[in-house]
Amino acid sequence: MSSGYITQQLINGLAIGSLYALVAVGLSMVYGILRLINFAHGDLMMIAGMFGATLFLWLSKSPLLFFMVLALLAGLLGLVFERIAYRPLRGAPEVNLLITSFAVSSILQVGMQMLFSSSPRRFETVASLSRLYQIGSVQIRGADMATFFITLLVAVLLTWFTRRTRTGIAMRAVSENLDTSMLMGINPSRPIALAFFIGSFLAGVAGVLWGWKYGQVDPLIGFLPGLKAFVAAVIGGIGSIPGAFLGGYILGMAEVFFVGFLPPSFSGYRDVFVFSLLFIVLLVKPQGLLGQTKGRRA
Amino acid sequence: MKVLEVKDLEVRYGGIRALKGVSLSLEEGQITVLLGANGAGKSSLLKAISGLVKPSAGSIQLWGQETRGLPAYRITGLGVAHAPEGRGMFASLSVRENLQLGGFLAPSTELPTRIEEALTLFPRLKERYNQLAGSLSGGEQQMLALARALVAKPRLLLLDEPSLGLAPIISQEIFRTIRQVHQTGLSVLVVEQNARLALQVADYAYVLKTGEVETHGLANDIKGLEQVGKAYLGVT
Repeated sequence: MSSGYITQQLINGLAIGSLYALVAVGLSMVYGILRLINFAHGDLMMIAGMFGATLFLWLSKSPLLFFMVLALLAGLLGLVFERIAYRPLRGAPEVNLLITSFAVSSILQVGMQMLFSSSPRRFETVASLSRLYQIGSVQIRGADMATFFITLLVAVLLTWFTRRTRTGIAMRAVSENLDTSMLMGINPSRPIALAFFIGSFLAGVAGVLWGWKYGQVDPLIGFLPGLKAFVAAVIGGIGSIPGAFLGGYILGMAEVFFVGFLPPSFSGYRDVFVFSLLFIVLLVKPQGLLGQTKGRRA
Repeated sequence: MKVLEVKDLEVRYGGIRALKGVSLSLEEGQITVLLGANGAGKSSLLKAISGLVKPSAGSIQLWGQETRGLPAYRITGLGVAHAPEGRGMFASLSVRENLQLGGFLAPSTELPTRIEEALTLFPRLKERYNQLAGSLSGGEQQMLALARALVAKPRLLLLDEPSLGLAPIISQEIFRTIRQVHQTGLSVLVVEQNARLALQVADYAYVLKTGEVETHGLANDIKGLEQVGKAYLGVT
């Protein structure tokens, strides 16, 4: 096994890990602030993908505009569901929120099937993204490179936002202790809505990148990545933003190395392996790798 | 005008009435202490005033405005700072961030000066400025709770058991500071188990018993009352 092969697998792991991280970070933010396990999160990624497949011709002149429109669409949709589905349930048992998110997920999936049909749609790409770039002995697709750098940018911006801005610090305060944050004068509805917006926006970003990576989308593509992103968030420590990135990359790497280094007959067990990894991490560290033990919320 | 006027306030937790018609009023610029045994309803009263629990009956007026039913963050905006029971630290945030949150509603240009002022009262926090609040000792956390409340520049300060779990010398330091900030004209309502210490600095006192006001009066008069002496001051 050459070092070139290993490097190639590392790069593949980074690419897929970046996608998981982008989806996981939104899940983790929303969980941190609302204790909601949002099963509809992956579907927002799908929405961006489906509309991306439809709007490509209209927006093909500017990939950046294309990107922003779709991410904003997902972000605004996240805000809408926060407002109509989750906000009325604030203070209700967490399981009610969870069940509601299943309903939202179904609405999004069935809605897209009715609007566009359930057959896969081709997701157009631009030449610079589908090209393979040769760097030394490894080959990197433009789309994968874009995914990695966009995720890096998101990580830097989110870290800055949550550590350095008044709103970001308020968001962390609401996550840690709702009552005390209100005593500081924070109206928790704002950070909660913002967490939904940012998380959904990033799911939209992931949806476009997903489309560019795999070349086609359908109304059910959100489910498995959503579930894996959830696994990533839990491995990293749900509620922790750095944890979501770490978990995403661990999961991406593990998946790629499992397929790349074991005999091909094993590759069908990829998802079994991913979910087993979750068990193992939770056995050793029940709160996840970077998670904090929380018992402070009334 | 009265700072605070509470009338016939009732708070229920499920079927249990924690407050059974409490009335109380606070004069501008005074320190009022709320005494009473565990379960007397002291913390519930503070939480009702700051909006953390919703009373089932009665009225709460702050500076003449009815505030019962307002969310806590709106009441904070009126000029009330509540340092809650158990200090309410954001343990995973740094001392700096906790102080910044204290001034969440302050104009951002004023925030650095306000934090600087709070730190001069508690120089020890300056040394811990970039540490996580969860890593502070109990006394330091209480100082931070007080400093954070002061960064808000409140007109009414609500303190819930500031001496809980602290060494006597630290408790005294905390109360000295309470007295010091009170000289700026701040009104203070403090819940305290350590009646002796609290009555030293207070102007006025209320004694709660099982959800009702048992007695109230000037701090000096309350100190002399036989039942208070027996119950809270260890006089036999």
